[in-house]
Amino acid sequence: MFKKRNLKLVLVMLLMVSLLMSACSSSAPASTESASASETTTESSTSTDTPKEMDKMTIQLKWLPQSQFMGYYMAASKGYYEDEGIDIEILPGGSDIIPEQQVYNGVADVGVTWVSSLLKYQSQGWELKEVAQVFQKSAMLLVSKAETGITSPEDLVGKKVGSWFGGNEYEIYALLEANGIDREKDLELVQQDFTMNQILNDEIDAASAMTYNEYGLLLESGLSDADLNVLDMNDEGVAMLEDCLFVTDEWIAENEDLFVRFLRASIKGWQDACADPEAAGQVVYDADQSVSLEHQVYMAKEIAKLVTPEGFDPAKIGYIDMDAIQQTADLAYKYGLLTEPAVLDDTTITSKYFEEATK
Amino acid sequence: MMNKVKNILWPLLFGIAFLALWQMGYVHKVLDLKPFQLPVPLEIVQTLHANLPKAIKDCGVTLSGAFIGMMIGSAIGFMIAVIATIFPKWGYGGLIIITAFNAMPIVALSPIMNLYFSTGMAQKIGVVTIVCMAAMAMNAYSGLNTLKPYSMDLMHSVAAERWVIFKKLRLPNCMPNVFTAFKINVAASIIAAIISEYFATSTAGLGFGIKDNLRKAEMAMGWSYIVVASLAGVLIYIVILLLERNVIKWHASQR
Amino acid sequence: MTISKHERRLVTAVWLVGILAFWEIMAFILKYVVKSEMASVKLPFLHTIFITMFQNAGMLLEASAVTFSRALLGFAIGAVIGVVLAILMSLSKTLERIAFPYLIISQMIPVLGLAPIIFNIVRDMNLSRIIIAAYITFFPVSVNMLSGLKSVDQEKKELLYAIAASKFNVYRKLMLPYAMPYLFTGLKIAAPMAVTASILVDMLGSKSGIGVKMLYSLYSSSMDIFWASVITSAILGIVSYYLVINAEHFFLPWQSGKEGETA
Repeated sequence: MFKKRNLKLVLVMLLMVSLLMSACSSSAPASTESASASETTTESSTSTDTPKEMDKMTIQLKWLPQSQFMGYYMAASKGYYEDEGIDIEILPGGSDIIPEQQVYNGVADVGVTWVSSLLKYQSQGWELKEVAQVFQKSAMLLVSKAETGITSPEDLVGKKVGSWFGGNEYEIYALLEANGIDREKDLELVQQDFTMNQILNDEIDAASAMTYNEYGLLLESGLSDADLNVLDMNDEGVAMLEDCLFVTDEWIAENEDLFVRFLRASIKGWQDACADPEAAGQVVYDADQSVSLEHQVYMAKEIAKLVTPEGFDPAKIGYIDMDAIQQTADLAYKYGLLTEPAVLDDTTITSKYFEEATK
Repeated sequence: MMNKVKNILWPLLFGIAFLALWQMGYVHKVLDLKPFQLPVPLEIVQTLHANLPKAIKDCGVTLSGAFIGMMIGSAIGFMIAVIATIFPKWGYGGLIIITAFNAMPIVALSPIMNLYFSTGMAQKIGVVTIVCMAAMAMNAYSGLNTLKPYSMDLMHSVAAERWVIFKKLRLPNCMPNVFTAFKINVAASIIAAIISEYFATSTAGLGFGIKDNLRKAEMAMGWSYIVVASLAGVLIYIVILLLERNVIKWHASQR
Repeated sequence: MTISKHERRLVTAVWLVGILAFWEIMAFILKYVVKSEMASVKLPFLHTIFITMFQNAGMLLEASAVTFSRALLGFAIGAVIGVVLAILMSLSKTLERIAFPYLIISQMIPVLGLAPIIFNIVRDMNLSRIIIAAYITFFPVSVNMLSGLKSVDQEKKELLYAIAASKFNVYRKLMLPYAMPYLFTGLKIAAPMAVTASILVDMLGSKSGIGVKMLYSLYSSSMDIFWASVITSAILGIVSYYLVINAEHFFLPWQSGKEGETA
């Protein structure tokens, strides 16, 4: 009996020790996990014997690693950051991660977020500055099954419409109000979870969807373009700008040169990615294995349309179109995200570094 | 009587002192925070005051879901503990299943429940039920089986039937544990209800208010919802405490 | 009440088979009797989940290792904090009165509100994740331990004090041993919770872990991987529970006999 117990003790102890060791060993590299991830993607050049001092830099993504951010993954994988002397760390987002807070807290140096969301933070006193505009168009759609018969905004009356809220609802508010629909009385707005199950399950009539992600998920689930009706925010004239790059005033003041180099490398990455979305999808898929390759490639193709719309010069990726920013700010103010008109001057948005990087 | 006053006075004094330090900016100084990152109490109170009717309504939605879910979950947990006690050989496996449920994160449970229930309330109750089962099952089982030495022998010596042993010995013996479980479940059920509302098909509830406002940088509004949740949690906890005092007067912990 | 090892194995096996069968039948009913269109998402056949798990075994194991090690660390820190808090609260009634309502309040602050503040203080994602995991875990340990310490009969305490035992000795000889079963009940609740907490902090911008797989697969509608990671998390929970049971058998051999099992 005693022996058996002894054996058990040894077993338990062994388990504990091995687990603790794995905990320590896994937590140590975890802090450099992103660095090592970028190392594996930049296999061509060994990072250990770089002659010059590399500047460390982190970028906080708005959401999970996916082709939405392919430009940065491309630049990392092709070694563009390294060429500029930057040791880049790409931090994925998540449901409890807010990029504005991450950058303000100093966890990351640069962040990716939606313009409308950034405007809101700026209006609340957060000293953040937009420094590049990656997406030139809105990707927001309201999708419904064809049999529901929603072909114009007026058809939304009396329907159940999904939104993610948390700042993502304002294009829908704008769409409704621009068409004289009262969002409190004329229809029911409900929250969507991360999935598209609610619309597939017919629990809601119309769902918010990004062209590059959720719309693709619906197609992958077996529906075809003909089965779906789409209201596109760009066509409806209520588009708000999405993914942009931002920094804190404090950080950029000290790292102007570093940021320009980062931007130069990122623009190159985006150019490559938009020129060859298939390859970009593969790069993103290699960086994170869990989302299907097909989906990443689909997304990469859609993202390319947002970053370099028809007739847009790829050399100008990152260009800040002040008219579009102004429309975003106006809509944000008009439909209640902002309580006073946004301040759009050098303190909140600047093309200085973009011009420097594209010289 | 003196004790009762002390019970309320001490935490209250501490709370007021803390709130004062927070209001005067010392907390922000120590933690290196800006007021727009973490609002000061007065701002939170003002925001809450301006939004009171809606906050109360949202609180009602969340609490009713949390309460119903906690009751169902605790009942199931208790049943499983009883079954595991009556049939020690076969019932014990049930406890392990419960553990498996307890390791499923709410973030995963919520979308699963969304598939089964189309209303936010039903989804919430489903999530809370699962979250609350384990604490009750573990505690009740422990209480039903951790008997005082010789008490069982005494029962056997008077040739008590199993049912009598259960009613007279095991059941009273597990009451303190049941209350311990309730104390854990009060906190767990409210936070589970809140997190399930992040993903619910509705726009009501404290969880929606917290997520929506914190994401939109409406920190004061977001924190005012957190304050409401905290107050509700403490209130329910006090109710449980009073119940405990009346039900298990005889127990050492109450003297 | 003693059950032989052989019998226990049999019972476990029967349970296992029972659950598998129950799940498969429910999935069958959902798909072919209720004819739910979403059956493969709502409740896929267990064997298809196992096939997915097998196909992705490497990835899931790797992710599990990250999540489980973080859970263990969070659990260890949380348990120590929980025990220390409980002892402090049992030493001073005043402290208990002050602290307990605030412990409840602390559990009401969701990670979404808490995380930015922790990040701001620590400024290191990895350390922040461990702190948050411990923060979620300590509560049940503390509550159970405290109720154990408070359950010691007053007469026994008085007896020991009467023979001039020091406070330290009263705690060492009477209070702590007495509270042990309560503590282990708390640990049994906290262990799977630590797994949950660890999965939650995986989602705070981590690159690996079961939580990451869960979130990614959910968001990309890869429901097979999603279910596989949910089942994996459940298995991790059971493993953590067994670890505590084993520790309990080892430290409190007399206790385990009463639970219908003998070592």
